[in-house]
Amino acid sequence: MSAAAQLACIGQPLSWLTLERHALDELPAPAAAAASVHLAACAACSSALAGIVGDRRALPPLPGGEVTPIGVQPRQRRRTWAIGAGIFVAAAAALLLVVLRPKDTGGELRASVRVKGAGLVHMSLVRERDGAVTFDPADVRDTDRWKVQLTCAPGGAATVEVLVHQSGSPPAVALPAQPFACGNAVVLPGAFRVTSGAATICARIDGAEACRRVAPP
Amino acid sequence: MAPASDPRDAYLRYGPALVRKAERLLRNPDDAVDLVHGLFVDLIARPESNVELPYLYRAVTNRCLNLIRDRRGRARLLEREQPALVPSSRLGDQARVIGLDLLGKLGDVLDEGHLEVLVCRYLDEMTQDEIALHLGLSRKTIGKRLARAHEAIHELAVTQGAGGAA
Repeated sequence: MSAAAQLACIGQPLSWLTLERHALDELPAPAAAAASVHLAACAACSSALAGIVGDRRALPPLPGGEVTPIGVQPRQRRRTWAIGAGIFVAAAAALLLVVLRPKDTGGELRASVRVKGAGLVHMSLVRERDGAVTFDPADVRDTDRWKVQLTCAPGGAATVEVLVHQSGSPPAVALPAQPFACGNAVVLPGAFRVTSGAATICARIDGAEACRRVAPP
Repeated sequence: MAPASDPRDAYLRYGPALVRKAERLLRNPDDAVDLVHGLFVDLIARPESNVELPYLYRAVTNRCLNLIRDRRGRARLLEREQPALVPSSRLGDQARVIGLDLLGKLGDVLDEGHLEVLVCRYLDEMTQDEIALHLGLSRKTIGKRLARAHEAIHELAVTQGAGGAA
């Protein structure tokens, strides 16, 4: 919780729900514009928003793994998947449209890197395939959905960008640069797909890259 | 940015916001995390559920109120209450800090609909118009419920010496 909102608002405060939606970029355009105007003038509300943005906490994982949720019929799963797939069409399209990269990332891959401000950061991949979640899998299909999670000692922080390297293509940005606060298995917001076969997925953390390689089965 | 479309995405995307909200009511980060985690475990079993943030916000309010209204749950929360998590208000002179104990006592005299409006107004700091939209009620109903809640707080303050208004 933000402890920053010690000031009184200059008028009617932006509600916490509005601030949360503003931080998530989910407000309708007119409301977002109005919020921005208010935030520019109100120290109390801008401080509250800063508290939200700075509060990046790790939550315990939900049950799942490779087990299909009880009570979910295949048809429902397909529908759920189809809905989710729509969200990530843009990311998939971006990966399909990448310009060719001159060379592949060769050599030894490191899943952990040491960076200033965060110490040793370990990167893991989370793959969702047909409703089943697998950690650090080796194989990839075009329809898989991927997330990245990072583990480092609490108290550290850094900026991370997730890149996908594929043979003959320049790196494609799967998740844009974003700040993260260290913790145990901190899942980065956003998901993406990897199409066109083998790839090396890297978390670029303040210039250093922690990577994992995946290839078609 | 597109909103989350299934419970797992929603947990990653909205979980921290919902924990912050639950903390404002429960005053304890562990209970807040447990409550939000439990909400999503239930949602996973019902994958067609609404997972938009406003809906989830309301679900968290209701779960928190259920916990607070339960005498045993409230007693446990009060034991674990962390004063540092008492929210300060941006409402200025209108501020009315609603604590765990007061909410629990109000739960004995007000129904959940009134408590929900109270939480929206003083803990979520919504305007009456925003509450009306959020709860799907008329502005007039919101005004009436707030007035009744204020009466109840005043009565508690008089009869039990319960401090509610700041």
